[in-house]
Amino acid sequence: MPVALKGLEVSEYRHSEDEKAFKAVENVLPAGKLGEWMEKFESKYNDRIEYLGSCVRLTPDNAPRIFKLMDTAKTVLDYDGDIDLFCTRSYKPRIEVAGIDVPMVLISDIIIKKFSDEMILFLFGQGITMLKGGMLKMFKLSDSLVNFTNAIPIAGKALLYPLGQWRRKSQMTIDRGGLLACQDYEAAMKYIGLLSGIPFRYINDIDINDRAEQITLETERKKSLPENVGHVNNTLLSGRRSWANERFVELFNWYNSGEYGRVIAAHT
Amino acid sequence: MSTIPVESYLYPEDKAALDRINKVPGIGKLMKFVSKNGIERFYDFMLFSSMLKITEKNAPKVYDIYRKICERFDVKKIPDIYVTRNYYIKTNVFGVETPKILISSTAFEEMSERELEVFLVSDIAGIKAGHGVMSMLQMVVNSYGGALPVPKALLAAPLYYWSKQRYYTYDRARMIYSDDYELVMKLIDYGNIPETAPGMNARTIEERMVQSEEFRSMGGFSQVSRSAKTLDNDAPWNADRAVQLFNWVESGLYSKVKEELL
Repeated sequence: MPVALKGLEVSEYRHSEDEKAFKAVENVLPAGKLGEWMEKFESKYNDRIEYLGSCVRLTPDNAPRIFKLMDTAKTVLDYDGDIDLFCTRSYKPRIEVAGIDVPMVLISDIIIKKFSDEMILFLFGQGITMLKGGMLKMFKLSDSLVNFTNAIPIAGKALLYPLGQWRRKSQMTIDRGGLLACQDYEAAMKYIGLLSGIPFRYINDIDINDRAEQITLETERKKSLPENVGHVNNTLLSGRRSWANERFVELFNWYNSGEYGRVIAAHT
Repeated sequence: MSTIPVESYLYPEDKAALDRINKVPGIGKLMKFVSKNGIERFYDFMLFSSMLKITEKNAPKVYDIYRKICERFDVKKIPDIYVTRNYYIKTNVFGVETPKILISSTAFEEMSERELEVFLVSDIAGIKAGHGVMSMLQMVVNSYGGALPVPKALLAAPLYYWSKQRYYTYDRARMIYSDDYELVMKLIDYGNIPETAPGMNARTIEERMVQSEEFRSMGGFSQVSRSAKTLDNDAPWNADRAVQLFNWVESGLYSKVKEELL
């Protein structure tokens, strides 16, 4: 059972580049307001209809284990808002988070079937960090801009750059929130390993240090020009979330640098 | 045990939708064309090429259940049933001359024998209700609608509407066949919540109704958005299915039908 981190704020574990990029986007454009309006609209007139109409709302009666895990994650990360929890048939090992006024989390049935409690806590910790950190409005803005900017050949990419940059870095903060919620380093690292394609069946066989070494060697290797072009185009200018391997290294470094321990110690 | 006549479970709007489609000009000719020119054979060929046909030999238990359902619905010639790999738990029926059933492999993997039996009822009941022809038509319109002599939307819109109504027929047929309200309710949401979760009971059904009510009572622009989404779907919202079944059972109509069948 993870310990409750009373008074914990997202700013205490926010990735420095996430913080910088987040402020830059808010300062350059009335992005925060626009994103918030878009997220509220989308969650009310699209997501909530879909969730209520097609999914199952989880309750202490129909899903006691999952409901309790969400309560635990809320307590650990000191989040006292209500969250509507829904479940749907899907093979995606990720959750979806929507709604600023009425927060909602959608979990796939595969997560309930295959994940340990610690991994589910990790996912819920991610969701709560998104809500507490005010990230949903920026995600919505970035998602919407991808479609818009793709229609404008070069200038479109330039528009997307700051948001894309933020999006990639915000994922690091979200992962840190997940780790703080489950307080189980192995479970967190194994979950990210799963996103790289490691099959469910072999998830417990991952050697975290070996994997970190493998990824670090690859990221530190000198790259050719085409590789660099591909990297910039597919990461910084694509508006997508960070690569799973990048996330693995970032979380590995954060934990092993002692930062994670400092956050925990400050609240216990 | 007596057989189950189609009138006992056919949802009135399903019947009305079927009647309306049959009145669309050219439908009769189109179906004759489909049947005469080997289009159905084309789909059959695809099934034979990539899917497994369930037989007495390769799945005796399932086939036995299947035969039992056919008997209850008085289907003399047992339709071919094929299994396909799919994570979603789905089943479908189609065919003009020889109706066929497709079912996803996960249904076999995750459902208990009893759940599978009641789940399969929908397609046999559908065959008796004339759904095989309509499903076939829907496949043809979806695939080749642009090339037909009538505007695609003219055919697609009533077919989508009918397709939604048929699920209410399926829920009623399952109910009459099994007389197990909690199981039929569970099948509506099957897969959306893992089989390890507690099943349906009075308390969870009540909660399901609260969710459905919240969905159905959305007003203002939410209602407009919901209506637009509904038009675009060929299956009804689970929330609506749960309410329809609940109303049918709770109003006493189901008991009346059951009594008449005895």
